Amino acid sequence: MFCVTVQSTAQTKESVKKDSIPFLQGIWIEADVAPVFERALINKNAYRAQGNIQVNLKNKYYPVIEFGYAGADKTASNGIEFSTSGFFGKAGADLSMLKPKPNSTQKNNNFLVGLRLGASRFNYSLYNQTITDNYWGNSETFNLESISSTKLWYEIAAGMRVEVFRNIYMGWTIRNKHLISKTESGQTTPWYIPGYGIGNTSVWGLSYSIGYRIK
Amino acid sequence: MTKVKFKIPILTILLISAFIFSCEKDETCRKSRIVETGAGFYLDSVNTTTGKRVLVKSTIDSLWVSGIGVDSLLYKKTKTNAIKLPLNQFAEESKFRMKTNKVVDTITIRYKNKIEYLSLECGSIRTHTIDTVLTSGHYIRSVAIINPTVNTLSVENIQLFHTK
Repeated sequence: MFCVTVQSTAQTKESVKKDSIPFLQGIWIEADVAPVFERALINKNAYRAQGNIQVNLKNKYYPVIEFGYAGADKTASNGIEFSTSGFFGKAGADLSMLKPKPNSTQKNNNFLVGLRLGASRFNYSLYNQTITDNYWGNSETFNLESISSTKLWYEIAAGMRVEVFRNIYMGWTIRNKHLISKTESGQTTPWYIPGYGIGNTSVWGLSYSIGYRIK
Repeated sequence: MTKVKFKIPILTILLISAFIFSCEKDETCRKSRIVETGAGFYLDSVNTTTGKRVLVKSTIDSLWVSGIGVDSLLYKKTKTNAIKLPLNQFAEESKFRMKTNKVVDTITIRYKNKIEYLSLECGSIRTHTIDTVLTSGHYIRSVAIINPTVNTLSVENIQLFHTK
């Protein structure tokens, strides 16, 4: 009888402790500053502006919506010019990999791992394409303008966020992106996809965010 | 303490950036842009015992090939059993003058063209789908289309049959 009573009390305490964590633990608005470095150091042909809103639910789940605008203008060594720009959006969630210490003042510093589903609807153009028949002797140069395209992809993301000043946060996220909607062989395909990056295969991406915790 | 927190993410991002983006993208076209019709020579004979048709890959002793309307030669060689014929990318018919073992034939290939995009670095090419192949029938007595799709894959598209 004594044992049963003790167990029951412990369960009640644990239940109260779990329920005492409020559902909404925080909301962040962030801007990605990595594109500034990317354009200066890595890919001078592309530009991107990206932001996100992320919420902390019970210190465990971090749903996120990302949105932005990106584009690229590139002239290949063969003279073909590629141009695109468009909006993109991503939705997903992160999972906290660290257990917050109840009395810690830095309980929102975190290491997060998650998934995103991304989509972009955009137009792109390919100028100055040349086909030359070296034997029969003829040549043709043509442009393909405003080709409409929609691309879907998913991202595996991992990163950290720390509070650097009061309610001001910084963090990075590394992403491995995989296209869901691929182009059939022989069909025109964009060199750059807004929000995804260069290529028709899986690519790596990096975000470096500066944000403000509004709640 | 704040300084330490600030430095760690910056250092981490620089290291990761250097690791991931250290290799610049190779902008050389590494795909084949050569689109040619593969043609093989076959001896077309009848087995006198069974009475059945026998096709045997044959070697041509002397071969001379040129596109009709083009000055430059495609082939001038001996001992060959297969050739590659480039089709006119801006027409739907290509004619070749073919001198095999000193006998001259005209081979006519009719086809449809299609533009295929390879990549930004490689651009586009024209591929073909063969409809008809005709021969004047002097040495090359008949022809067969075995693979009508002519693209960058190096395959035998047509067979050229001779009887002697």
